[in-house]
Amino acid sequence: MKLIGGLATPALPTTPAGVELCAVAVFAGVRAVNLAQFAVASPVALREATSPVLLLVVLGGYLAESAAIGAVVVSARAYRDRRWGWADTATAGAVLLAQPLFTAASDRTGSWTAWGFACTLSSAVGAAVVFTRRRHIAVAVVVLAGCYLVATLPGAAGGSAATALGNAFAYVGFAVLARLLVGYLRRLAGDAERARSEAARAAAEAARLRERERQQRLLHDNISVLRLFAGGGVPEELDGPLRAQAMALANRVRAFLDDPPVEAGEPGPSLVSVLRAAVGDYRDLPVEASVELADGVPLPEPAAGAVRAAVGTLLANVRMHADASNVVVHADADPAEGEWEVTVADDGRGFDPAATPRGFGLRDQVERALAAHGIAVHVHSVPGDGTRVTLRGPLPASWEAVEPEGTP
Amino acid sequence: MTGDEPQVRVAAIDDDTLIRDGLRVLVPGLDVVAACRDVAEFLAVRPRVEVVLLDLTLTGTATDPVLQGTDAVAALAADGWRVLVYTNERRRAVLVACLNAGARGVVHKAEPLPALAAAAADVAAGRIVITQALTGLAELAGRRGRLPDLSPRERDVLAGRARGESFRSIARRLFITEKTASGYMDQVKHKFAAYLREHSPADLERALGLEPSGLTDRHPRDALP
Repeated sequence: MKLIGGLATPALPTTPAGVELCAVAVFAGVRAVNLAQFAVASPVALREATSPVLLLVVLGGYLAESAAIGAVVVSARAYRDRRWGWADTATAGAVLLAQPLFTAASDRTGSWTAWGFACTLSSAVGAAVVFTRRRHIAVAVVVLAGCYLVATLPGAAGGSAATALGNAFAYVGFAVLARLLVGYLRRLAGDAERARSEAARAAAEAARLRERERQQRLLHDNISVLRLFAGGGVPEELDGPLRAQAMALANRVRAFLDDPPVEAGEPGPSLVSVLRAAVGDYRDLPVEASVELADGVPLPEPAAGAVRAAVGTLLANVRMHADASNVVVHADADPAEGEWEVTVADDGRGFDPAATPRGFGLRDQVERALAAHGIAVHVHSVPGDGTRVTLRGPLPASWEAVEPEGTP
Repeated sequence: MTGDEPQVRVAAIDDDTLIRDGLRVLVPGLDVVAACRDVAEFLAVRPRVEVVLLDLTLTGTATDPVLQGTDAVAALAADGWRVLVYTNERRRAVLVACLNAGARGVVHKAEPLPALAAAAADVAAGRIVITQALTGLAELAGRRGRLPDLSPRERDVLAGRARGESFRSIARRLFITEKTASGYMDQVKHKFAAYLREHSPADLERALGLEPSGLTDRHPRDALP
């Protein structure tokens, strides 16, 4: 949509909201084109006007109203507020009635001195956009055509009168055609929206069947443990193992409530699958994994094993020391730098990296182990403001970002 | 009011009695003026509240299904209420569908209770509240060209937040105040929420590569025999 510049840089979505935006563009565009035409013709118009001052006053008022309604509809991304529709109709009527104040009778048809006719055609288009009811559109058209005829017919010669009558019908024509088009587009977008949600529902239905199988397996495992606890008087030698099993089940229930893991049908180990596997072992932590930006980054063995162990160690540290309520595992790929990046962050206690000696985990399991594979580790932590550990490794030269369809 | 801190007037719609009655007692920042079992009960009372806390799963009796999930969000949003979804639901596609339906925020029930009070205050003040997972999704949307309106600074702050960085740390790194940093993030969330509202969930799945599960309103619990 070139007409409205940066407003809709990606192509307009084929949704009801997109249709409204398109209608805004057409309404504002027709008005802008007419005003631009007038701007070109304005030197002649001002010379021929009986009162250039009055012409400019009326024009100024009209421009102000056009700017106001333009700002309103662009910021609302729709022209659906009927109050503005009536205001625009009334302004257009007033502009038409004012034309005789600054034009000679002979200039009132077929000249840019009487600029009201051309410019107010956009109000007829606008009426077809803003009003839903046909009788409202009809009233607006009658007002426009009526005001035009009242201002033009008196004193018009025979030929001019015929032109004026013909012009009055243009209001009707523009409104009818715009209504036809906008109404059709609105219905089309509604249908498209329904078709899309139908397709989504069908896909979801299939996913739900798989989901249900998963649930039944999980619930089945829970029954025996719950029964034992419900019965009370658990034999002492069973108490420890039973508690451990209950904790494991609790974690599985939480993991179950998360997004289902993407089924691995990938050729080799990838960074994303390695991270998901590492996170999967720490489901008792409040971990969020945002790893899609690294989709498709390959991570061959033995680096894959080292990264998995390192991320595991970092999460184990969080579990033991951090007392965190939010843990993030984030992955990204930066082709410009030729690097992938993994961040493991928590909002827990933090520590002072300068004053605290690194434990075995961070020093040996993470920093040394990864350095052997060309992966750099950076630890950022402030007491009371959490810990953020960043791993950076090389991207293969041939790597390109995976973009889903429709990416501009 | 003689309370120590400003309270947000909220209504809770939850089928769990413990939550309905517990919030009143447990969260000092909330003035729970109404607690309803379902949307119909809430709309019958129409209490004067700033924020509606809505659970996504509202179980009706088998013969009398109640409005729930994104349908419930859409019904309340269309009626002009500011909806804060308060849920155990974690699938991103479902949370995205809630924002698409007009919710102003999402908070997990697993969050500490003060986070709920803070989220309610944010939503009451006209801000958008999203979870860490949705922050990651916002970054994904931005990087895939779906949020062209983001300024460079807004992108910087979003990248930090998606990596779990605190506002304090982001502010220090970018030489701005914490308040400015969180202001940038508020802008990001508004633009992200606007993007989600204007695109159908099916479009979002394609654009962001989400799994197509869970876009319907039925919750797994319903699928059980």
